[in-house]
Amino acid sequence: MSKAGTGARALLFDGEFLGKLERLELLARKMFRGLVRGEHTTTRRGRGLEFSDFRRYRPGDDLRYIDWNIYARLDRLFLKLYASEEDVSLHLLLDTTASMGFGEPSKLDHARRLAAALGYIGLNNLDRVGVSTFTEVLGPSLPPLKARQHMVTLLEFLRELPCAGRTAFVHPLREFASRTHSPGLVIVISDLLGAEDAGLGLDALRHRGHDVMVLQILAEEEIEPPLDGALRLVDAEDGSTLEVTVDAALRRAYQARLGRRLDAFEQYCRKGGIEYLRSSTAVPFEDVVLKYLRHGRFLR
Amino acid sequence: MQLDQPLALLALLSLPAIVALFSLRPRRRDVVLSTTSLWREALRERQRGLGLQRLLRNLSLALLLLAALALSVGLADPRRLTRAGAQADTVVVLDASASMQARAGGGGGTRFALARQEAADLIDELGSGARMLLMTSGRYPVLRSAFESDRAALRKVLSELRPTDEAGRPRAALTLALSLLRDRDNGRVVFLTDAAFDADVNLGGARIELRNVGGPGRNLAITRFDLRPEVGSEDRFQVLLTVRNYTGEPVEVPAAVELNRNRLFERRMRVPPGGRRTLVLPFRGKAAGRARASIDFDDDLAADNEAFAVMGMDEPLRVLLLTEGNFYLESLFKAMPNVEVVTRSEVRPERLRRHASRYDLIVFDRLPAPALPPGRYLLIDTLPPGLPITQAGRVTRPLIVGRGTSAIMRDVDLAGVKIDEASRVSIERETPGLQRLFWSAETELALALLQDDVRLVYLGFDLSRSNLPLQAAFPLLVRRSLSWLRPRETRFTSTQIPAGEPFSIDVPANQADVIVRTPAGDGLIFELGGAPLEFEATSEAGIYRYTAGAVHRYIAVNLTDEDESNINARASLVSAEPSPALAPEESQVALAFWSYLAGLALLALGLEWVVWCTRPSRA
Repeated sequence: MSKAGTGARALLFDGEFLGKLERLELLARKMFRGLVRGEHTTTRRGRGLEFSDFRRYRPGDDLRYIDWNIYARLDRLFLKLYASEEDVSLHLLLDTTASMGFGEPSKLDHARRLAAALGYIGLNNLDRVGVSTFTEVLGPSLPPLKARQHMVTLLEFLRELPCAGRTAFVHPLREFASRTHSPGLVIVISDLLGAEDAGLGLDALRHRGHDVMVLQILAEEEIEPPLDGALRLVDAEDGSTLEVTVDAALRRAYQARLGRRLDAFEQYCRKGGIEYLRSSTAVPFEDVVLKYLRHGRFLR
Repeated sequence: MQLDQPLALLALLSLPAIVALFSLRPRRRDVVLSTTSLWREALRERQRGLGLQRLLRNLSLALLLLAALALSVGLADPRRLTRAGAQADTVVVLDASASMQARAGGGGGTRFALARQEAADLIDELGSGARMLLMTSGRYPVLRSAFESDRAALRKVLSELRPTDEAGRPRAALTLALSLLRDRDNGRVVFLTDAAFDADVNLGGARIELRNVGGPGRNLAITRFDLRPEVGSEDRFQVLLTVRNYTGEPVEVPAAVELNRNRLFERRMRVPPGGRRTLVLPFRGKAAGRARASIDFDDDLAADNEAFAVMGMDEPLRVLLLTEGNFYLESLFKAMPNVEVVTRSEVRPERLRRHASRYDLIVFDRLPAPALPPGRYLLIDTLPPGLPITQAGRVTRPLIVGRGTSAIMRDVDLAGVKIDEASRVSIERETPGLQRLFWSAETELALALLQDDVRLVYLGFDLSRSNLPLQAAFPLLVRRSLSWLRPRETRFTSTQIPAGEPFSIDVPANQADVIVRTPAGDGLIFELGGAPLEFEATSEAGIYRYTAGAVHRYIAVNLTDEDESNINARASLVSAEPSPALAPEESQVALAFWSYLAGLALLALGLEWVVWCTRPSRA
């Protein structure tokens, strides 16, 4: 176990869990220019070229990639195709609004652990991993790191994240999209509560060429609210209050409303090609990583 | 309205307290959530139910306030003052005598209808908790209800009351009414009458309130009607008819008498004002049947314009004649009035007892007779066993040498009687109840015996072998014998009673029931328990008929009362002094309401509980 692994264990993970993570390999569902189709307009330099396939020659193709052996035997022009194993940029976007501080454990803690796990996997596979936070605006960020020795830096960044502010998606996500130079895999970790414009923000990422995945974290108290009787509900983000007497009927109405909102967002993601996963703080985050992400085809 | 515990009204302060408590909001616990938007949306979805919720909340408050108000006022013990008279027991006496049938004033109604309307008004005025008893005054007072507070029940009783043809006796009714109030300090008697009775009637005291429902009337009345035999004659009769004029002018009125619906007489009678005129009209014939007298005059009271009589309509004498043929006897019985004869040539001994109970008289004419059960017998030349008289041969041409002093032999002339042959009889010594009628030197020729339940007349010779049937003495002897055997048979009877007076129905002991048919045609069946029946429903004038087995009898019921036919008010209608029970200052009675208010409060609380259980959650 490396030094970084020891620090991580001390913070968030145990050794068994880290061992499991090391055997996982982050897989970008989409190949970012990794599949080289000959020199087309520009040549991207990768660490190595690996033969992938043949295809017929089309006018304009780079003649250097013509397989002359096949031409000699078949008298036809075929191009040799090579897969480019470029680094995958993994961007972790964490919602650090005040609402993320809700729950026991808090949604933000849960998000931090998930981000740590995903970042660890990314670094372990020599991908570039960057972390950004957002509220109404883009918050503190960690520049893309590469190599496992930066794991401690990642964890300490995550540990120091504040939890305050109101939720907004459009402005911070558009700003993030404009700042990123190369598209990559963007994993947005948020509770998505109070975010009516979440779709627009995610669309901005998608249009920038990012492969977008949304991890929605809900507190168990939000799914099954343990509320009853005369209460004054205080909004954690804007401080507004609502006097209410909660009974079973009102709880059912709340849950129905929550269900409709979640379903609508899931539909939106499905139409936009955005991977969407929902989890609860009651679910151990390692289970989320090992089971949910595997089922979500991000790990192999 | 008054309050016995006015300080209890301080409990009304609970009303603002309830309102204040209801206005209090529950102390709410602060709960921080990641967002409240979902809860706001959920609440908005439930806006539809808030209307009902608010209504139930307001209803709940209203019910609580109502309960508190009712309890507070109930604790103050409110009482409503009401007239004691409304609560007192009242005896309403309706004069149901014949004069109450008189036309009242210019309307088409009768005095009784006015009295009934007055009684209905009294029932309407009956206070809560007060009771009333209805009774009628006729020849006898009749209680028509118990002391009753149910107005509907009293109205029903009142609607069934009818005036009668009876002469009134108001004093008896008022005495009874006062006795019903003997232990009631605040009771009163209301007498609804036309006051057409003697002015000197003692009305019984100050507790009686008289209400006159009549006015002056114009009336002409039959005050007496009867038929009677002329003295010393059996086929000559007299009709007695008296008509009285109660108007102030002379009246000439046609009067008619019918017997068995056949017109006997029709006369015009001139009656002076305030006077009377009596007709005595003789007639010859068989005076048996139902008679009716009437006058044709349009006056205010029609009930006394006719009268009824029943004459000789007693139960007919039923005779069983056991003979092989006896022209003289059969002819004689047929000629006798009110005698029914059944002739047979033989009779079974075992049926003789049944015949004896069914027939008034059994005649054995020369037929052998078995031992006699209780009954009445005429034995002609035959003697049954078991008697103190026995046959001991025959006697030829006996001469009548002596006659007894029995009533049977009164006026019977035996001078020319000759007998060819007669039975010789021997008589036990010292036979009680034996009367010698006439005899010869050799034997007794005729005897009468009264022994235990057997009464008999014995003729010791064959009638056909004597000239007795040809003598004037024969029908007389037979009639006297029948009179002795069945005394009532020859008596002229005129059965007539005043309306309202009961009559006794005496029927054979083996008769189980009796049917009485009233003048209106109603048939009333009474079961007899062996005792005579006192029939009391004679309030209607006319001919009553009762039937018990084979027995039929008629009874004439008449108004024929000079006082009752005087339909002008004569009695004083002013009570001596107001009843102390009716004095205004003492007639106030407080009716408590606390129980009703407590019930109202409980009802409101019950409803509030239901509302609380059914209402949805509060926002």
